[in-house]
Amino acid sequence: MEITSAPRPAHQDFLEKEYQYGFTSDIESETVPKGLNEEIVRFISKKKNEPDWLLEFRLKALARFSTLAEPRWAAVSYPRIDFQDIRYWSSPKAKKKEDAPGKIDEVDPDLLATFEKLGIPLSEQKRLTGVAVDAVFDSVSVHTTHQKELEAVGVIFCSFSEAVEKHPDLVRKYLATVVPAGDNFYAALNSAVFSDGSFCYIPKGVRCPLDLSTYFRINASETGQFERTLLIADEGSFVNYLEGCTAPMRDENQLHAAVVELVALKGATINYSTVQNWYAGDKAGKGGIYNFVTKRGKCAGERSKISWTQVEAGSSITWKYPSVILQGDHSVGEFYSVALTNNRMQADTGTKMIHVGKHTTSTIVSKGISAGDSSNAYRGLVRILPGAAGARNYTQCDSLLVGDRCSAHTFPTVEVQNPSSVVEHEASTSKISAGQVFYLQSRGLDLEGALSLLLHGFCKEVFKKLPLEFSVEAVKLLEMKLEGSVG
Amino acid sequence: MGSPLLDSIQAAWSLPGRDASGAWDRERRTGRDLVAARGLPQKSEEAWRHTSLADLAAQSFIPAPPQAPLPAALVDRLTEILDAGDFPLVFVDGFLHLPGGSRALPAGFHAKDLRGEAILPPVFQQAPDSREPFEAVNRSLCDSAWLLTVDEGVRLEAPIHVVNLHSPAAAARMSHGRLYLRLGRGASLRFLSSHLAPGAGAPSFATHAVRAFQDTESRLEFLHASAGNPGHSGVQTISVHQKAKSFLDFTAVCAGGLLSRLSLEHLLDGEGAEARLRGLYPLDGAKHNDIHVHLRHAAPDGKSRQTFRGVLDGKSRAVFTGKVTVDKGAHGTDAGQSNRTLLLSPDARVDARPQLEIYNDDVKCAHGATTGQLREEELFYLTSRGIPREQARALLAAGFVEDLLGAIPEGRLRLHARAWLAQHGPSAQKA
Amino acid sequence: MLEIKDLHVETGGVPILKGLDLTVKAGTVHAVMGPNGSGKSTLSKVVAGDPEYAVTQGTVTLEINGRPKNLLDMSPDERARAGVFLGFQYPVEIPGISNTVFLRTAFNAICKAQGIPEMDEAKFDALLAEKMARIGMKSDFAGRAVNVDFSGGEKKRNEILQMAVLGPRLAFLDETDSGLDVDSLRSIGDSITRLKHPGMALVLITHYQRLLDYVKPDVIHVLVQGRIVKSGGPELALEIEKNGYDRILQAAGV
Repeated sequence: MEITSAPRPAHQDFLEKEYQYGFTSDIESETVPKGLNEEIVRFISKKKNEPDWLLEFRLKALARFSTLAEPRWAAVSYPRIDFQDIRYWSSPKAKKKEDAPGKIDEVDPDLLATFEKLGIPLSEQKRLTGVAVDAVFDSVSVHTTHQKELEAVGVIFCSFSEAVEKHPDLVRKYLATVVPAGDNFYAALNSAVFSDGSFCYIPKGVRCPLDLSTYFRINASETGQFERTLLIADEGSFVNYLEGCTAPMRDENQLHAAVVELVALKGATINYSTVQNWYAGDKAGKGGIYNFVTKRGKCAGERSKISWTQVEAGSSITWKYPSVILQGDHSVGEFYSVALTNNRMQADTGTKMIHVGKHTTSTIVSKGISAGDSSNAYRGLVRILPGAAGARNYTQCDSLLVGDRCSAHTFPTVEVQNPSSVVEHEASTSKISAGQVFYLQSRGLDLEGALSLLLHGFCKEVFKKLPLEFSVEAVKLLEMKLEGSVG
Repeated sequence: MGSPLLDSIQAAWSLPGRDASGAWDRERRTGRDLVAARGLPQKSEEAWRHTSLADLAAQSFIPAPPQAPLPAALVDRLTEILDAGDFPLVFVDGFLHLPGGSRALPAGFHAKDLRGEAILPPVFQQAPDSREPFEAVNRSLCDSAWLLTVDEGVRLEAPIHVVNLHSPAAAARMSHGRLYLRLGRGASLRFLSSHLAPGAGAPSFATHAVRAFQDTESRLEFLHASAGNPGHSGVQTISVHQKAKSFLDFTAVCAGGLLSRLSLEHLLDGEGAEARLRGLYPLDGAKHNDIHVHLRHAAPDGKSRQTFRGVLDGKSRAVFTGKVTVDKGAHGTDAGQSNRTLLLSPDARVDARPQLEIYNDDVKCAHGATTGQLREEELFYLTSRGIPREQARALLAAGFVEDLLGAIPEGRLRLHARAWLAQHGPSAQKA
Repeated sequence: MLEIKDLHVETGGVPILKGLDLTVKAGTVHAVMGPNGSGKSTLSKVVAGDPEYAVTQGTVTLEINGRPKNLLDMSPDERARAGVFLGFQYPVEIPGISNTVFLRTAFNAICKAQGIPEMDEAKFDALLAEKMARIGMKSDFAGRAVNVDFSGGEKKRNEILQMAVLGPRLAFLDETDSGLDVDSLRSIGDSITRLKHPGMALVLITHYQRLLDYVKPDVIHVLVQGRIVKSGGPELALEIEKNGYDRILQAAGV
């Protein structure tokens, strides 16, 4: 991280700094009436020309959803959500086709402009190099770049809808094998109404030549976003996957309930990175995204590896536990997380590492930063099952408090049923003190520089795991979110 | 939700023949209201997720009657437990017994039956009610309730030893003893509370509660030792409310039972209060032990240290939950917790949940938890010197808990802790 | 006393010793030298019975009560009770167990195996104090946990103390000289020499001549790539000190 020596803007400027992605795009959308029922589910399925088995899947999930209760165990509080007051489908109207747009020249120029404004140009001339992007706008995938390069090595990277159409066998084989439809309340909801998302398949032995990336954008109001990502890394393959999210500033809360499933077969590696910057609400806690997400990976084959890295800097409420089921012998699971909460934000995030196979290894590094009036919780489970001989886990879980109105919580659970395993957990809390900032300032750093240095020091194990461009973005994002919090 | 256990508790409420009077009666009534409102814990509750109450809840118990004189076998047991230098207070099935006639209480120390007291000292109302459901059960049913007081400035050297003996019986019996302990300003006390349920393993159930209040600058050294036979279920709750600059040094040695739960509730409620908590759970066979700690820093500059160690053999199972809460106003708090469990057998199982809740940025908090088995290189080192493998294992297991035992302030409580471990700890873990 | 024939050993699937032969007679001092990774430590660990190493071929025979016994059939503690001692290159730390308790337990285990009455605490404490004084160890090491917070030199000295207390018939000392300053080296070397007796065999595993200045060896062996390629008198060690291993390796064709 470079230390900037630019003249420091007035303190107040930072305090008033707005969420930079808070604009709305005026794009004509096709939406459905509010409410959740079988008719809506059938509508979504029909809209997407889905095969019968997928409709069946959705209907079963809907039935299951109606039997489940909303979870209340997380350390977050919010008014009850009226699930009948949400719109479950919104799609930008395509100009030419009835279908969701696919080719770049068929995409609404306003949509392209929106993504360009977000820093994600999609057109051939301007697209990011080295990264293939699937851009998802509200409920629908708008465009996926770099198709040709990926096809050349047999990598499938497309919208979920396209995958259902073109690779139904793969989707059917793996869908809900990691997160069953009835896994939890929000997973069941997603399974019933999921709109679109990304699908990815890396064939045997292929090292994906590009990083794959999905960019999620919520635009429509009073609409929930329920995307679904399914990523399969076949034997001996390797992929880096990046995910980014933003949403406009709105006074109402919006629900985002995604499901991400990862499958790593024998010897495969998946690195999944997220920078989550959904709109977090204003200083008083008005508006913002409820981010209730189920992310889980299965190390199905021996010596496979799944690594989750997340920088959670947005959302009014985050409820998210990217987990790994370590089934294959010698498989490896990782969770590296920075979660920042400020103002009235609430985060309850962490991971589950379920050790099934022999000599499985997991590492958890969680860094929670709380500022303002926010609440930040780490919740984790490390479970060593009887068959997991020689399993190892190391957990490090640090909290940083900025100011005295915020709170930090740590709720790890360790369940050990095999004596040859070694499980270690460490946790600590610390603070950025005015004294530290002053010390650095007295050595010539400006406030911004001092803050970024301290933040970087606190989070360095996690940032190291991010791809370079993400890491730079993440530090900037955290700095921006924390400005004005240190006195 | 009803269960045979809850039915027995409710049936015991309406048993005739117990004269209800004084503060004791008031406590029992409050307890009933709490149990009626709260019921028994359910499996879905976080605090009981890893300890199944199903077996216990399916059993019925009748209250154990007072016994006088004590059967010879129990008297023998008592002589084993008691040390001539301690001042004994013996409760058999919850009822006070004075072995060898009554002895004069040490000067400045008082023991009062709450039956004869109009009200409980108001200091005991300052701390919130216990969150432990069985504490309410205990309150509603307590066979006796005693108030122990150490006067302001009085420093007692010899330990007060409260023995809680659950007598073996063919019928499934339950007993419930309850103590209030109050240390005046600057007072100091060594306190030993032992719980023993001897016998072959017929079902039995005992609850016990200690509510302690430590006034400013008081010092309490507290050893809790428990051992139950394989049929015994024991649930003990200890709450300590500490005022400014008071010091607590607490050690628990829990040898488990069919179901054994120790719930510790600590409130550091005055500036500069300090608590050192230690716990040891050496288990074997099918024994179970659950330690649940909630330590709350509510005032500035408090310090707490927690050290818990388990050694698990056979099919034993241990649960440890340690939660530290730092309130908004508790600036300058320094809290540390360490939990380590050694698994000696492939069938042993441990669940650990170290938790932190911090509402303040001016704190130093850390916790660590590990589980693992004996290290092969250590075993090899010992055996390469001629020590047989089984003995080497026992030696290493003993070494694993030694730092904890050695940290108990030197004196009789440390000796008691070692003796308890030698007598009631698993034989395979004795060096 | 000790006869090793055609010993093949591997650890973690990697072969280390590949047909090693070694004969050691009572009352003699042998030194095993060789470059890093040649298998010197493996040899001593295998004789002591470290379960990390698997013997795939060959025999290790120790004469016990006048009869040859296969050491490989015995557990590490049985070997120790039969008089085998390994001075560890990296002595293991054992938290929570004092040196006294550790050594008394080991001493009495050996007494028991030999049908001698076990020693009570007071007598053993006196024995230990005497041995410690002779080795030059401060008395507070008796009460300290085994090797915990000991310096490198103190750990090595503690190994020699254990040898003094347990009185082995066959001792392998694995790089006892590494990490010692000149004064400690001399003092430890002298202690080892004093502990020697005609009924005992000593095998020193070392990189350097310097320990051999204090403990005079009878035979020097050069161990290379899992085999003893050359044996000779004390002059061999001096030659290695002067010229390194290269010439010997060339002559042996490795």
